[in-house]
Amino acid sequence: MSSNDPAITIDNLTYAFRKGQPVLSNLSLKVPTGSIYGFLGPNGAGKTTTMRLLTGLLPQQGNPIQFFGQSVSTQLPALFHKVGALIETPSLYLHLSGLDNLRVVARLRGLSDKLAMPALEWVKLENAVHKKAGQYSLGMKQRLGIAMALLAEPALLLLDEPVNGLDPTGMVEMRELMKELNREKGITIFISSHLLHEVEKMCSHIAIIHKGSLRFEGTMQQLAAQAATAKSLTITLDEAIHWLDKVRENNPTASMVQADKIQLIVSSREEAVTLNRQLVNAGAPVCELRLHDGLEEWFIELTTNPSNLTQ
Amino acid sequence: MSGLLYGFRQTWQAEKLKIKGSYMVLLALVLGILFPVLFTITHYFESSGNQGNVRDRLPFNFFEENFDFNVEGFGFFFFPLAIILLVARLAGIEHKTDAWKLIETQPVSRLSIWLVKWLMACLFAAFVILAFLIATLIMVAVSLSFQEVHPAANFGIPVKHLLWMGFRLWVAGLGLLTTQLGISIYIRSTVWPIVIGVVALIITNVAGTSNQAVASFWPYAVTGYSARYPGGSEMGAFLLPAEWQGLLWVLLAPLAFCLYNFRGYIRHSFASAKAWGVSFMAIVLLVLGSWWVQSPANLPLLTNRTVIAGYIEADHLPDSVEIFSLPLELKIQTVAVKPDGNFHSELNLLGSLELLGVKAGKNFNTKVYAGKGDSLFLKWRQGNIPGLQQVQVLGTAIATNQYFNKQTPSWSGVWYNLQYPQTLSLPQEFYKGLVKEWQEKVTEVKKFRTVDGFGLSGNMQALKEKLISVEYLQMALFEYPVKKNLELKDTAIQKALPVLGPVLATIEPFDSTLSGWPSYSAFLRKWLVMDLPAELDKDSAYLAILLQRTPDKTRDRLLYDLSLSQLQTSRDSISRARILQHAFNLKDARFLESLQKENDLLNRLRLGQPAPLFTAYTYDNKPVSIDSLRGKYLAIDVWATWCGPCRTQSPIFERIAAKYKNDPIQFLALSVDEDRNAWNRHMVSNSSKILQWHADDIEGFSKMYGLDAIPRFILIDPQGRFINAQLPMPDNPNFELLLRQALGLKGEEG
Repeated sequence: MSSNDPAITIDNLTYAFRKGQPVLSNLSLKVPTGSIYGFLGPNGAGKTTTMRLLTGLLPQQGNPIQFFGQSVSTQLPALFHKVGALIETPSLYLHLSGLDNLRVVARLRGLSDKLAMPALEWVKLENAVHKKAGQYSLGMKQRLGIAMALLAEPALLLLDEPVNGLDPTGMVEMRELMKELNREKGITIFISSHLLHEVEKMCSHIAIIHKGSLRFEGTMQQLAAQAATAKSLTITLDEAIHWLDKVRENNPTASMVQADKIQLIVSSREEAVTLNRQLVNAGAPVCELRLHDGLEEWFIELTTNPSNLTQ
Repeated sequence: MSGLLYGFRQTWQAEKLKIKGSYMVLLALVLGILFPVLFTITHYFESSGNQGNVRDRLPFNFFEENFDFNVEGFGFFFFPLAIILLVARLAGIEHKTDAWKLIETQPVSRLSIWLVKWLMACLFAAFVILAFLIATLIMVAVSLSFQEVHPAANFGIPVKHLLWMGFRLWVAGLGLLTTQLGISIYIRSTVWPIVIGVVALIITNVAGTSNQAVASFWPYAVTGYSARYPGGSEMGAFLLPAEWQGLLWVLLAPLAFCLYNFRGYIRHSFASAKAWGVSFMAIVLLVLGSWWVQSPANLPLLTNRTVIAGYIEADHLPDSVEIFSLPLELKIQTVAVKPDGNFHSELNLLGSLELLGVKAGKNFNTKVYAGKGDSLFLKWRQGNIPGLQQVQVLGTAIATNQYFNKQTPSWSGVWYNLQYPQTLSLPQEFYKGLVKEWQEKVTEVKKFRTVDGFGLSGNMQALKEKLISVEYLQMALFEYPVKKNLELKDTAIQKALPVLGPVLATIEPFDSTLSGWPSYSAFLRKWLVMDLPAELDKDSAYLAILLQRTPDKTRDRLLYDLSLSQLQTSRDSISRARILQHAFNLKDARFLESLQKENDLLNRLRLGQPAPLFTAYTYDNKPVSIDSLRGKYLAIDVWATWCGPCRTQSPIFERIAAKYKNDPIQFLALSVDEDRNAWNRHMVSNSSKILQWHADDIEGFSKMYGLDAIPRFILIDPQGRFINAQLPMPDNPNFELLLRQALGLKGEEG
């Protein structure tokens, strides 16, 4: 392992719970060391499955995941000395106090019980040290879960929807904490979320996943540029199915949205005009062209349409 | 290995912390002490009504005995229940918020996680047992405050006995623990594993009460089996087979681990051949081990001789041990008892199974079954009162002795049906059911095991099978037709007879291995002559058949059994003399001698013969004699404090006594208690209106009066002559009828 190795490399990850129904298909990611990497996608996109595969909670099919340049399967379970994870809702021992929950983790990692208290302070739970975790509010549980993941200050943090259940202040605090950990301790953070604006505000890198396949990967800057240029175009025309192939000849992103709607991504207004002309010339009964822009709009377009099945 | 057990120590440290606040320690404590507390409470309410009638006993340890009562219930239900609940809780700690994913994303291996759970469960199981041991000691001590303690009790704390039983229970419970841990972790619920566990516990225990194979096999039942034998192995083995079996179930651990490790994608996990391979191997081992543990144990036989050795524990050791052949009490050998209590005798037995009487000193004797090649060891504890003893027969014939001495015969539906003739089915159907039950009984014989897993030898099984056949043929051929009002020659029965084929095939006439068994003699007596016309005297025909045979041991035995039975049922001395005539055909003179003795006794006891004199003493210790009671009719109730039926008959006897108090008849209750103190105590706590004596020389009295069972009722006339030496029981109307007859009273009106 060298310091240049990406923290996580995923190479063509495909996973299916049942044969023929892949949850993830050909997913490839590269999480650079030192990044805050946002893993964005709507609910059901495959984020948690990816998380579970990364942490070995689910066994990978084949060997597509590498941590720090080495295959994950050869490093388990020692890998977790370097990796902290919070998957889905936090797993807490409800009959134990917040402090004891952290102590359990400290012991599992072979660390001193004394690390528990500072971790509680990071997540602002110093007032509920001896309270049973079962009596915590949803937000407090979430914070405790985060504290348990970052207790050991691992080189890599895997957080699955970490701000779920937090109030707006809590969200801000958590964001700041992430940035601080990343900046000051050099912790690489891999965060999954379904909220673009959340990710936008703290991540250096971003990947967008939808229906199990990657739609975008790059830095925040690349994303902004992409969003500025890439526009989503919706063409309304009768018998769209007959015209899909025609559109695809010029633009492979095209897909059927409804029986009379084709959607595609175009890089400019001109491209849309040209495409329209070609279609009309070919005799297509185009009745509407609609162009969408803006990052949020683009993300929603990318991830809410049921069209992408064909991708 | 360190790779497989990566982070084991850390996992253990974390697990300890998780126990905090989980109430598991409290739960374990409660489950450990619950049974002794409940037991003591129920005992408190039961014991308040149960005073007096204390039987004599050999010295025993009070704590040990009460602990042994307790441990059975604990091992049967409360201990396995504790394991089920605690294991479910151990898994449940992780289930509640799916903390599995928390610990599985820590630098510790899955095997460490699983093994720590398993070890923690083992520790809790040990803790429950320890809590039980201590609680039992305390509760037994508490029970001293309300329980009447037998004078033979001593009060040392049997530490070794307790700890050893605790250890054996723990070992036996490990399989259950492993099984339940597998289930509790695989089914991610707190409730269902408990439901499954408790249902399995109840089912196997219920099935296990009647089926030894179930009780000594299933992980849910073996703790109960272990606790049923607090003394452990009879033969000095380390563990009982059932306990080994409990331990063997731990071999399910690799499978349980795989189910945990591959949970959710079992089908895809078969590629991980190694883990499944280990599980498979472990299961193969489990199967082989179980087969080995469950198959009957047998000790090698000696060639050409039979050894009967033993150890006598007594304050006053007898000088010698005498060995007799039964039923004629023919002495075979006398050997000296060494000063350390051991004796050793070597015999030359011919049969594969003979009934021997062993007599150690004047007051102690027992029966053992032994055959050619057997070596037996008798553990013999003797008390200070005649007959107060405890004999354990060990050695090659351990299974035979236990099986043939079994107190309770197993339930028979066929026998039960025969008691209710109106419900009897037709021959074909009845015989089918009978053959089916016969088959079950034969299988039962094969399945019989002692605590240590000793089964009956092939010879013994064959013998017992034949005896069962005799019993079932007796019911089929002779009892059923009578109850059903049919004749054997009726077509309905004749047509159904082939159904009995398999049973009949096991039996042949004049089988030398069966000749010592009265049931076989009685059966042959009817079977060999069953085709003869009803008007012929069948006994004479049977006798004729016997006499035609060349005289040998078998014929002698059959002839003897026939003559004895005829003697005992004949009413007058003339017919008895005629029976004895045939007995002169006996080859072995000792048989004839025995018959003549019996005849003499019967003649002595018959109407008009003088009742033998005997002496006794009263409650205030005055010597008395029976001739002091001459001049009045005398009705005697021979009884003992320990005899249950006596206690139901005596009050009726006393009521009748009160009714005839103005008539010239004396009613006497004669105790034959070996323990005079028991009788004294009984006299203190029970007032009686009739004359109460205690016989002086019980053995002499028994011989003179042919006492083979109590209660016994005897009627003697004013001149001291027998009117009836064997009256019916007082609850039988004939009892009073015979009294009135003797007294010359008329029948009662109404």
